[in-house]
Amino acid sequence: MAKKHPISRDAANKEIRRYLKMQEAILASKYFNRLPKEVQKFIGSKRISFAFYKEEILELFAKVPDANGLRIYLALNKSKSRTTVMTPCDIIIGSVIIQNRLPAPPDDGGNQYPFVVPTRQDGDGFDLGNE
Amino acid sequence: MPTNHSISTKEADELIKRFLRIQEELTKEGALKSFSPEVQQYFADKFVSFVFYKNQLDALFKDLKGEANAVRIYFGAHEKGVSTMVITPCYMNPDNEYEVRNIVPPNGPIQYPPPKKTALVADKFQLPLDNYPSKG
Repeated sequence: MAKKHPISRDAANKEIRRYLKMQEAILASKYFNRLPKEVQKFIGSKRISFAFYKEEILELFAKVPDANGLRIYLALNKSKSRTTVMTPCDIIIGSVIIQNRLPAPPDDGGNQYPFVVPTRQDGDGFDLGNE
Repeated sequence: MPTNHSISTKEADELIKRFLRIQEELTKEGALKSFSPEVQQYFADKFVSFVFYKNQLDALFKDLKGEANAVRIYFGAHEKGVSTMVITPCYMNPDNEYEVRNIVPPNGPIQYPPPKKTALVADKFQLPLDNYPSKG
C-alpha cells in the first residue's frame, strides 16, 4: 500500500522557510569564506527550486510504463550550478526497496531541467502562494 | 516553444557525480564544524535523492483546472536539519521559462519524507547501479 505524503501549504512553507533560514545563517557566518570556493557556490546558491513540464515527466513514464515512482537526484551542471536529474523507478514494499528504471537505449536517460527558479523571498516571509 | 530537457544516462551520471564530489568535500572532517548542528546535519546526511509515487504526482494535478503544466520541486528541511523536498504544481510559460507561477492545490503540496542515500562514491556513481538499499 503506497503511503501518502500530503502536507498542508502551511507545513510546506515552514519546511522551505527552515531551509532558507539555514542558508541565510550559512551565508552570514564568518566561517563561510573559509570553505572551498566550489562548496561556497553550492551551499550559498539561492537556487532553491526546479520546474519540470508535466509532459516531460509523462514522457519519461511512457518509456517505462510499469514504473510506479519518480526519483529526483540532486546534481550540479558543468558550471557547478545546482540542477536536478529525474528517473523513473520502482518503489517496492513501502519504499524499503527502490530500483531505478532506466529506459533502454536509444531512449535512455533521465530528465533534467537546466533553468532553476530562484526565489526573491526570505526565510521569514516565504509563502508558496506568492511564488 | 517548450525546450526539451532530456539527457542521456551518461550525462546524468556526470551531473550527479559532480554533486557527490561537493558532498564529499563538505563532509570531510571538520569542514562544517563551525556551523550550527542543523547545518551539519543537513549536509552530513548524504541524501542525494528523493522518491515520489507516480500516482501521487497524478493526484496533485487531478483537481486543478486550467493552466498548471509543470511540477516545481523545492529544497526543504525538517526540524533539526533533516533534508526533504516539497512538490507543487505550477505554470511555466513555454515562451519564457523563467516565468513560473505556483498553483497550490487546495489540499496542499505533496512531500515524500524518506530521502534516499547512496552508498556509491562519486567516481563510481552510475544511475543503473544506484538501487536502494545500495550495495556501494
